Amino acid sequence: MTYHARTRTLALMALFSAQGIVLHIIESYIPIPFIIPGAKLGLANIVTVSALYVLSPVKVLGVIIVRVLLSSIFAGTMITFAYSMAGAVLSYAMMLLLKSILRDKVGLIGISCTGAVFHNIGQLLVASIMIGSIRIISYLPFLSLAGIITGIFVGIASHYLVMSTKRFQAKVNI
Amino acid sequence: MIKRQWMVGDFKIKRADLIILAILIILSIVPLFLSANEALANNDIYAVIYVDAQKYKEIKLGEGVSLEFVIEDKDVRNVIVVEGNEIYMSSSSCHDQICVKQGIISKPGQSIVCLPNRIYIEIIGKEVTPVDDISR
Repeated sequence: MTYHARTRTLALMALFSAQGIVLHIIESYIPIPFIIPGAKLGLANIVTVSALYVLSPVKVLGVIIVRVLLSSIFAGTMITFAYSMAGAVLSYAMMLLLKSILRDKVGLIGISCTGAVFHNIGQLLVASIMIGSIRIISYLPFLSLAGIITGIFVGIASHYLVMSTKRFQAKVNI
Repeated sequence: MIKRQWMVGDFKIKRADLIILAILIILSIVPLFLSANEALANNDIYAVIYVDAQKYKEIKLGEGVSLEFVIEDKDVRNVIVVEGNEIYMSSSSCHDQICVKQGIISKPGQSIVCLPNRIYIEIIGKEVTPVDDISR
């Protein structure tokens, strides 16, 4: 990789991290119209899913860690940091696995919904350790069904972000 | 062979996506059956309250039970109300208030959780035995 290409990749990673943080903060101001306490839109997943198609796996992990760390500082507490990190890392691992097994057969909706469901599973696993009872897993159906519905829209949004990022890259690379 | 796919604008939905969606939906409703079985098998119902992953209190629910108590620690202040078969968090010092919004619970398998303050309330059923349980 040339010096310029490295700089461009770094800028792109910073851009993805910033987008993720902004989406996370905006999301915390949007009330959820369903009666599912704790459910979220998962807008920040748009960035993770898109980054998966633009950057290499290790760089995506870097983006995720920076995003979760900074979002927790801006809008959260240290306890929410543990939940977010567990959810984000597990969901990334499953999305990466799915993408490397199925490659082009799977679309963005499949990837983003898998990410949403495993984000919830990761968070609930950490919560059950903190709380000391595995029964908390009974929240999973409500959270992940909501996650699947928003995951469909996250997948569609990611498609357009990937497209515009690729166009941007093509333009900059001369 | 024509590849089957559905279009939304210039966005394609692939067949593998639909299969993955079905698998995820099945995976996420599995816990429902686990707690449903438990609710049927038991008789007496108890509310168990955990604080910091330690069992804090166990209350037998039923007619005539009415109490209110406060869990207090540094920044933590949660008020729990028990009324007959029902239990709920009436106020909490946490920032998200999810535990308060979860409202009243009364059936085995239901639970209220306050993650920021690490308080967890669950309702469990216990089979009635001829001999009285020794209270803990």
